[in-house]
This record gives sequence, C-alpha cells and structure tokens, in this order.
Amino acid sequence: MSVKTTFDYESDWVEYFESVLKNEIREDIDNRYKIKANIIETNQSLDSFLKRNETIKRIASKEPFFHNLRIKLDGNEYFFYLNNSDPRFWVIHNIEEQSKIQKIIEKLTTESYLQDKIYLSHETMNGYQNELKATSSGFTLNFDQLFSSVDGPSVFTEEIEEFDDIGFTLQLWPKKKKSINYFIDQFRKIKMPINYRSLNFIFEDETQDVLIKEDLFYDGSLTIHRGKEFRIHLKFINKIRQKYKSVMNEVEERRTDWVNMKGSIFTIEFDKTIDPQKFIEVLNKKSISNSPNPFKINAFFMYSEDAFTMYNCIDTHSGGKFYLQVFPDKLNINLEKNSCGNIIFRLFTNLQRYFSISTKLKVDETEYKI
Amino acid sequence: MKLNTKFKSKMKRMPVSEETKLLNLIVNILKNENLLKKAIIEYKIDLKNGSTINPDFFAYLIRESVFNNYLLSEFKQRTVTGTDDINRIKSQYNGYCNIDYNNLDSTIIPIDQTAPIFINYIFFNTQISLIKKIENEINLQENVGVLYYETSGSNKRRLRYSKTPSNPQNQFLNDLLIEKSSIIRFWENYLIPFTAKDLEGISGSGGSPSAVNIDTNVSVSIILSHLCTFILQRKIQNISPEFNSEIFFDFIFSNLIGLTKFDDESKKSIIKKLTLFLNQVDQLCNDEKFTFINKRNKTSREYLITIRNTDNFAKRIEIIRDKLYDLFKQKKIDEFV
Repeated sequence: MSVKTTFDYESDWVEYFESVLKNEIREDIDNRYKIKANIIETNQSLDSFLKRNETIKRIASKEPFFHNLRIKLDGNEYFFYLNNSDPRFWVIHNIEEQSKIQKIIEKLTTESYLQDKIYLSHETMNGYQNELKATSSGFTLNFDQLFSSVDGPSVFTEEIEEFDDIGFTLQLWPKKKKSINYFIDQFRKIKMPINYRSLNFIFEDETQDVLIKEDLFYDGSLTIHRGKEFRIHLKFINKIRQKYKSVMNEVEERRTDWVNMKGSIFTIEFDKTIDPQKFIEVLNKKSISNSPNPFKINAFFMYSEDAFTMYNCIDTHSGGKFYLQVFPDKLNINLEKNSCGNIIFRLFTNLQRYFSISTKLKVDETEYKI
Repeated sequence: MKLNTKFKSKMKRMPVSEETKLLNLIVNILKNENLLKKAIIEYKIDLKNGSTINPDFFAYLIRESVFNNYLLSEFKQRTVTGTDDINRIKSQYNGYCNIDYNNLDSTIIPIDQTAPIFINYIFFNTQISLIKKIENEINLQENVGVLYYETSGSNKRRLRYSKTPSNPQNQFLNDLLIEKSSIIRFWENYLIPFTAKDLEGISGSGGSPSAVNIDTNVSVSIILSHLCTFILQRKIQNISPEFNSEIFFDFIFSNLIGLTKFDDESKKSIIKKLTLFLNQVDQLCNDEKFTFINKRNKTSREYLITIRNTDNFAKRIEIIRDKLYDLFKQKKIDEFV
C-alpha cells in the first residue's frame, strides 16, 4: 500500500502516518510498505533542486517547510514528504515499496549534484544508543574491502589481515542489548572489522511498551518496523540531524581561510601501508563492483615528496576543492574555504567500511570523533 | 593477494620549493602556539625613500598581554656569493630596518605601532662559513636572528642558530622555531599546498617569461593539476566552458587569498606565464589532435573547454593530463621560446 495523497499541513501528514503505523488503516500488515525516512545533506535551495530534477514535482502545502513531492519513475508515481526546516539537512519521508523507490533514493543522494547522504560512523551509531537510552534487538554488520581488488599490484605494500581482505554482511538479532554488546566484544577480539550497517533502536515507555521500533542505517536512512508514536521517530531524526549539523559546523570552521587566519589539517590514520598512487586510483574510479564509487572525489597528481604525494582534488558532490597528502599510512586533508565539510564524513566513514576499520580521524593531531 | 613490492622504486620525487616547506613549518608552529594573528607571503611594502621591499614572510603575532610583535622572515639559499650579491642583500636588509608603521597597509595586516618588528633570516642548504660571511659583511644588528638548516645529512630539517638575537622576545621566537622544527608534523602538514614560488618553473631564460623551464617540472605538474580540477569543477557546477587566464589565475590561488596579496605587477607576470602555459596546452592538443582546451583566437587570452563529454569525464581528464605531462617533458626549453 502506498500513499497517493498530499497534505496541506505537516501535522495532518504526521497524523496520517501515525494511523498507518498503528495499523488503523491497513487491514493486513504488508512488510514491503514500511515507513521510511532519509536525512539528506544538501548544498542548494529546494527551488534549485527542483529545477535540476524535472521528474520531481512539488505539490505545495500551506506551510513553508513541508512539501509533498511527486516523483515519476518507470511509468509509476511515488509520493515523498519533505521537511526542509533545516536548509542544509532535509528529511524525506515515504511509505512506498522499498524495492521500487531504492533507485529514486540513490538518485537523490548518490548521483545528484549538490545532494549527498549523511555518513554515520559505527561509534556515532553506538553513541545514539547510549545517549537516548534506547534498547535494541539486533544489528547488521558490513565490511567490503574495495582496495585489494584493483587491477595490477595491490594498493597494500604489506600483507593485510585475512579479515581485512574479505567482504561480508552479517545480520544478528540477539534480541537483547546486552547480547549485542557481547557479540561486538567477541568480534573485536578476533579482529573482525566491525561496522554497523544498521542498528535497531527500540524506544519504550516506562511500562516497556514499544513506542517505536526502527532501524537506523549508516547512511542516514531509517525504517520503522512497528510502533504507535510517530513523533518519537521524528524526534530521533531531529536528534541525529542536530548532532550531525553541529559536528559539520565544527568541521567547516576548520577549513582553510587565510583571510581570518583559520585552518586545520584533517588526518585519517590507518594501520595499513599503502602505495599512494594505487590508493588514489581506487578513489578516482567512477564505479567499483558495478556500484557508483562511494568516495565521490577526483584527485590529480601535483607533486611528490619523500614522505607523501600531494593531490589536487575535487569533491564531485559539490565541485568543492581540497588537497590530499597521501602518506603510506595516513591521509592529510586540507579543505578549501568553500568546500563541503561532508567530504570528511564521507572519506572517513567510507574508509572504515571499505578499507580499514582501524582508521582514526585527527584534527591538528588530536583525535576527533565524527 | 598481490603485493605491491615495487612501491619504493616507483616513487619519483618531484618536490615543492624549499620556501613553501619553510612557510608551512613557520605557520604550523605559530598557529600551534596561538601566536599568529595575520601573515602575508612576499608582502610588498613601499618605503618612504621610494624603494620597495617584499620579505618572504611577514606576520603580526599577538598573545594576550604577553606577546605583541611583527615577525619578518627572509629565506636564503646560497652556494657562493660575490660583491654584487652582498650589496643586494645589504640593500634589502637596510630596507627591512627602515620599515615605518605608516608604510604598512591596515587592510592587509593590523597596524600596531607598539609592536616591534623582529627581523630574522633563515638559510637553507648554505654552508655555515658562507652564512657567517654574509652576516658579517651586511653587518646585522644584535637583535637580528639567523637560523639555518640542511635538507640532507645529519642536520636534516632541523633549524639551528647561526646568530642568536639579543632581544628576549625575538630569542623566544627563534628558540620556539628551533625546538619545534624537530617535530616532523610541523614540516609535513601542508596548510599551504603550494605558493607562487612553485610556479616559477614557467620562466624564461634571462628573465623573459616566454619560455617554459621544464627542468623544474613540478610547476607544470601543479598547473596541470589545477587545469584538471578547474575543468572538472566547471563541468560539475555547470559553469560556462569559456574562460580566460585571469579566471584561471583566481582559481589557482583561491586557497591563498588572505595569505598572499599580489600587486598588479606580479599578478600580471603570473597571468602572462599562465597564458603561455595555456597556449602551449592548446598547441599540444592541436598537434596531437585531441580535444581539451582551445584558444579562441590567436591574440586573445580567451579559451574554450572542448573536452569530449564522455561517460567518465573525470577519467578522460586524467588520461589527457598524463598525455600532456609526457608531451611537456619531451619539449626542450628552446622550443618554447
């Protein structure tokens, strides 16, 4: 069941989605149609976005920051509901069939100019669990080594651990948060690359009645399994959005700006040794394993010193300019004043997911959590 | 898995200028100590007597109620020096000693008449006996500090004193530079990826800007990398494919706004070099019959991005970049004259 309707007011839409959640409308629960949301990082106005995406039609509501969006794809129409109260971080909600709309979401976030996903690290997702006192019944771990499957000599100049050279997705549903922690600890002991692809969040009332049970994915998407308080879901999204925004502001405050004598070097350290040139070849690929390259950057050689090679780079998401010093065991990133801070989140979390779990982010040599 | 055992032998060193490395060291140290209020590279100062000076590094340093001064650093490398050279250094030094606060431009750097100007020299790859000779012959005042370092050998990249300044605050500054110069990250964290100095490979014999000196090919590589990112950015941001040398200049130096204040003359000179470079690219593209950028007409400095809009646009730029770089390497200097 998809919703082919539009709303004048956000509160009407909230009420409607809550009734869907409580199963007041549907006779049978159809798992294909779950309530979903995506947090999108954007560097343009909604008007400019709509001009660039002619298949998306806005059906105005009577509120400034709530919009009905009708999207046509393969002869079908899909409805999305957009909240852009934060001009930088939009939230798009839908209750369409996941398999059908995946292409649209990818187009909006991966292939669309000036739109990007948000990138949540394993630690950040874990942090939400603890801060929000949510319980959990399961998680999905995911790791893919994208840097060992290149043509010719390997990116790595020394043998890497067996676990670091494999790809896996592992879903565990141990039902209890305590058990989740146990599994994570055990996996760490055997040096398994631990990265949440998704983490289940259960928000309960004082009687342990489930208000919302949902999965948060590392790319800022959320899927509700069941519940009865839709506003708890919205509050959770807001929490993620606010925190991401606050860290993003800190990152962007550290871009190089010589007019105001500001600027820092972001360093991503890792426990592997690499050939800078081969490493950059992977970052520069348009697609990897038939999927768009998640790094979304292009780097061009500038010069090489004994210790590192310097590259002049463009963020293909925004066209922003930055410089990358590639050392055998770390990267230095120097962001230009007008570049997008999401470069740091994207590079760091994707290197954790596709290169090495041991990556550490430092700013001016101090460890920095994102 | 296949390991890349040829890594070390494959790495060809193509270094950036020693001046850029030194600037990064000083800026990193001063920023780390929260001393740096404002800095300018090659700040052109017009003196009362009509002459002009442009020290390599000029900075206003301040730390609440403790520290308040200007740091003027001059970088030098010499293998030999003659009378003319000594006279040039002497004249430059006299200029530095005669800076009046009224000569400073408040739109470029804060003016504080209570802040003393500390003059310091940093020599690199210069024999200590030669440094001493220069110190003596130009008769440096007691308060001037002289540091030096080598890029090879046991003293590698570690500042040392040749002359200790008498003023305690200036000595503190020099001590700080010496102490922190042993920390490798201050040398290696490039907040300044390159400077105009690194583009000097595009220069002509006898000072004429009409030749490309491909021997110092780091300049070609740096400009080519900028040309690639420039083209890609315009494509991504849907900006017109038409451009001129001035627009390209602004793009290249966007990262240095605030740190470098080009006067009209030096800006013109760099734009002239960039025009020469772009003309060469246009010529090479024509010779090799591939599309990349084209000159609009013989006399103008207007260019058009003509690269094929292939499925993998960035990859195509990368391939052309490598091709152009090889073509530049094959050229001899006289072919550019």
